[in-house]
Amino acid sequence: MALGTSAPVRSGSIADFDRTTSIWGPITLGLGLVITMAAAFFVAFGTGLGITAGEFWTAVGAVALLLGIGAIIEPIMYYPILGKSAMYQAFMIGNIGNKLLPASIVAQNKLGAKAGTKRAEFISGSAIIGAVIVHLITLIVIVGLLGTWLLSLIPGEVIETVQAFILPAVFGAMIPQLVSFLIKPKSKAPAEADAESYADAGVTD
Amino acid sequence: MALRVVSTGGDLTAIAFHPILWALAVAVFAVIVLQSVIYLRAIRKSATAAELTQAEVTQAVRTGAVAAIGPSLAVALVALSLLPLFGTPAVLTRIGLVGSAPYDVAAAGIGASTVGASLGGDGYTAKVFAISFAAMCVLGVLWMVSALIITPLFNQTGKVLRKVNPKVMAIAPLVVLPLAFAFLIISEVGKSPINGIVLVVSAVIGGACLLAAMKWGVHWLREWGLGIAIFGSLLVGAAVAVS
Repeated sequence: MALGTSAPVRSGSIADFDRTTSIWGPITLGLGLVITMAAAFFVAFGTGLGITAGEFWTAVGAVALLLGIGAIIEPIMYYPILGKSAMYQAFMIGNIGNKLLPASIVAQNKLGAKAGTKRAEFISGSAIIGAVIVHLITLIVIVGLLGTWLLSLIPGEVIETVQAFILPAVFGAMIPQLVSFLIKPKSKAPAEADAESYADAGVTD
Repeated sequence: MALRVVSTGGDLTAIAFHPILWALAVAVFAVIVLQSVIYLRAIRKSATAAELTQAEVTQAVRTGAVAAIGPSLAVALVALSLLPLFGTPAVLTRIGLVGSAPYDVAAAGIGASTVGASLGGDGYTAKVFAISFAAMCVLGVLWMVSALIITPLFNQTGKVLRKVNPKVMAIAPLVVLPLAFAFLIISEVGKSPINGIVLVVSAVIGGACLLAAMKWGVHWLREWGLGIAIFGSLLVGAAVAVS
C-alpha cells in the first residue's frame, strides 16, 4: 500500500494519517465485504431453501451484467471528490451521493476548505463521521427498533411522496451549496485565510 | 414502486428475520463504528499538520451531522417502506448502510426475475426473497471490490500526475464535482416533470438559506438549510402530485 514516500512530506503527521487510513481503510472495507458475501451465501445455501448453484450464479450474473457498470463508474466518479481516505469510508457506509457528499460539501463550505487540499480531506472525513453518527442513530431507532410499529402509523402517502421525490429534493438543495463551494471558495472567516495558503503544500499523500 | 405487504407467517419471515442475518447486520454496524473511531483518532492526531484546529475538527463533525439529518431521515423513511419486502436485517444493511435504495431495489428485482418472480408479487416466496437478497449483497460486493481496486490505483496515478503538474489534483475535484452532480441531477429530472419542480424548489429554498446565512451571519442556516430545503420541496412535490 502506498505510504507517500515518493512525494515530499511536509509534516510527519500527515504521513501518520495516510498510513493509518491506508491500512485501516481497506481492512474495514474488506471486513464489510466479507460480511456481505457471507450474508449472500448464508441466505442462499444455509437456509435449506433448495436454491441451486445454477440459480444463484444466474441471479449474480444478471445483476453484474445489468448493474455492474455502476460499480465501476461510481468509484471513478467519487475518487477525485472524496480523496483516498474517504473512499474507504464512503463505500463502506453507502448512500454516497444523497447523504455523505452533501454532509462533506456543507462542512467544507462552512469551514472554508479549498478542494483538493489535505485540510479539505480532513474536514470531509470529519463531516462523514458526523453524518455516520446521525445516520446510525436514525437507522437503529426508526428502522431497527420502531420500524414495524412506525410503518403502521405513517400514512402510505407520506412514504410514497418521500420515495418519489427524495433524490431531486436532496440534489436540488445541494446546488446552491455546490455553487458557493466551487465559485467562491474564498468566502470564509478572515482568520482562516492564512491556513489556506499553506494548505496546498499539505497535499502530499 | 408498488409495494405489497408480504403475508406474515410461513418461512419467508423466518428467513428474512433469521438470527444469523441479524448478527451479520450488527457486525456491519460494528465495522462502521470501528472505522469511524479509527478515522476520527487519525484526523485529530494529524489535524495541526493539515492546518486544522481541534475545534475545527469538532465543528466539521457537528456540521456533517446536522447536514445529514434531512437525508438520513429520508433514507430511513424509504427503508421503512421496504421493510415488508425484505425484513429488518436486509433493509438495515442493504438500503440503510453500504448500499442505497435505487440500486439495491433494482438488484433485488433483477434477482427475483431470474427465477421468474417479482418483488412482492404472488410468487414472492422465501426462495425468491433469498435470491433477491443474495443479488443485493453481490451488488454490494462488486461495489466494494471495485472501490478497493480503484482507490489505490487512482492514488498512484494521482502521485504521477502531481509530479507532472502539482495543480492537477487540486483542479480535479472542481471539474469532476459539477459533472458528477449534473449526471445525478439529469438522471433524476428525466424521470418526471414533478421531479424537476421539486429540484428547483429545493434549490431555491436551499439558496435562500445559504444567502441568509452569509448575509446576516446566521451560521446554523448553512447546515440546517439542507434539511429545510429537502422538507419544503417534498411538501411542494406532494402538493403538486395531488393537484
